[in-house]
Amino acid sequence: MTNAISMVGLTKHYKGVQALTDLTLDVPAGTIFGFLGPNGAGKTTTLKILAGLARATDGSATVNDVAVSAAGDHRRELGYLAQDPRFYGWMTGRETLRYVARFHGADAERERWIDQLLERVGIAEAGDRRTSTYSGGMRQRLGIAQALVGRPAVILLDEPVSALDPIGRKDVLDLMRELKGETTVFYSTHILDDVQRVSDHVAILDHGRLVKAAPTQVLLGSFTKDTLKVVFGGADQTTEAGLRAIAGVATVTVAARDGETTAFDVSTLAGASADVQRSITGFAVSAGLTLISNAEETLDLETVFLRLIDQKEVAA
Amino acid sequence: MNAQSLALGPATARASVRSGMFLGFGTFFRKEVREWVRGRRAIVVGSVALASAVFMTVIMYVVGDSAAQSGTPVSMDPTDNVLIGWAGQTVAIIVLLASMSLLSGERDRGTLAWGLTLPVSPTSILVAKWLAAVVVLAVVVIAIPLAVSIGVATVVYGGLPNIATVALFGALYVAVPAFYVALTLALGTIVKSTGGIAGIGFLVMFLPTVLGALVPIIAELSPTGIGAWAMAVAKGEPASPLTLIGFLGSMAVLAIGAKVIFDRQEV
Repeated sequence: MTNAISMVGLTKHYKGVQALTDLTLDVPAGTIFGFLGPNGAGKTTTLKILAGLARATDGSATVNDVAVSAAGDHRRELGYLAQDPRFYGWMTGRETLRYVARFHGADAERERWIDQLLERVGIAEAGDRRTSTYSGGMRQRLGIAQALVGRPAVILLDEPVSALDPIGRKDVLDLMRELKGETTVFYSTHILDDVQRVSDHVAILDHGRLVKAAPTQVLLGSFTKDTLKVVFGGADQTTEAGLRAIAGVATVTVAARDGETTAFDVSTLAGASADVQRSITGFAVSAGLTLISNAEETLDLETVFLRLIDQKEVAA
Repeated sequence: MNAQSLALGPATARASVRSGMFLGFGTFFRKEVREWVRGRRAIVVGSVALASAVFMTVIMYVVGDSAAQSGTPVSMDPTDNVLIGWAGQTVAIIVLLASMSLLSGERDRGTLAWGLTLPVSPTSILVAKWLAAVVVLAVVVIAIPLAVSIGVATVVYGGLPNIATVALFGALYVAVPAFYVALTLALGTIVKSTGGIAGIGFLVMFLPTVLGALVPIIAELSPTGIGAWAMAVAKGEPASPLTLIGFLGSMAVLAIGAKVIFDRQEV
């Protein structure tokens, strides 16, 4: 898989503040890449460097194989949405899109494409109104449309849903999902639930340093492989001991009882969970239990995120 | 948003665009001109310049008799009376006030940060802003007031002014907006506030006059004297080449300084 964005040793130092330290990260082409971190982690600084709004103190980056530079040639490869997008108030939404499109060159189907974008981001009815009359949410939607209007290889979105109401948030997330495979979306956010729903890759940044970067499912899986959630129907007092006796099981605790159904949390020795799962299936048959669930426990991204940040702080 | 799906597709129909130092120049220049024309700035600035030019053209006709009685030399020559109003700093002040927020205004509104994320180079932004402002101001502050003044002088003083002299003066006088727009843009790359830009701009405008009284060569070398130099050349009077050298040198310094600083700009 080729990389849409490559960052090598990216470092940014402001007066008295180390905003970014030696960030090396590749963003595979065609992915929806979530960029996570607490406030002040360096997410916006990274996006600003890629967009050309800030200069790296050290290191380099490319966007679609074009070097990020002050001259701005790499900006032909990207569309950018700021946290609080601003436009010329005297232009209408449609004129704003035309203006941005012209920077990307002549496009025979430009007007149709602009109509389609206005429709898709939900401001078609306001397309001929001056942007000075737009609400914050409408500006955000126009911001997404202008990021897409040049059909860029990469879209950088800085907190794209932070200013939106729940409906707008869902719309934007749906739109991002649609863009998968069409372009590369690299976006920062602190709403972890959204990342888990939309992103196929994540990177976690803290205090300007990369903590972890991985495909979302791999990241989640790396934290869940040694814990099983086992649910039986018809379990009794001996079931817990029976589970504990299975080779590879480290601990067993009763998580919940609900009538005939009992849920157990089974932690396994490192790398033994697949064998333990098979043994549990055999145990259920031999003990005459109804096996309702025998799956690896899935942690949500928020838990993984907090664990990673905590680990880093403990290590520090 | 509706359920219509969005396919970006390959941008096959896209034509190539200019790259390098002047990436995005044409589009940004057109935006700048539209901004001048659509806003009230050009109308207000043009109206003030026109009123000032017409007033100065007819002033000698109005007060000529009393001035003559008091012994003041009076000329009823139409060419002299078209040009008399351009000897002061009126146009420089108008240009300074009209252009002082070219960069700081965009920075305050947040549109400069947006512009710098588009495929347009910092150099294109500066050059497009400078060129659009100079073109618009040359038309509304110089060409239109001079043309109207020619008409007024013809009627009031009973003869057509020397068109070649006035035209040469008008062409050379474009150096005044060229210098002051370059000055405010260059200041805008360093000074964040519009008030600060105006303050320093006025200092640059008047300081050489004060210092020139003590050390004459300062006034001669100062680019702020380029308007008087244009007047002298148009009228065929002696004009110091030092003023032209000072103007060209200061334009080069402003251009290079603004580019170097703006290329490193973070917003």
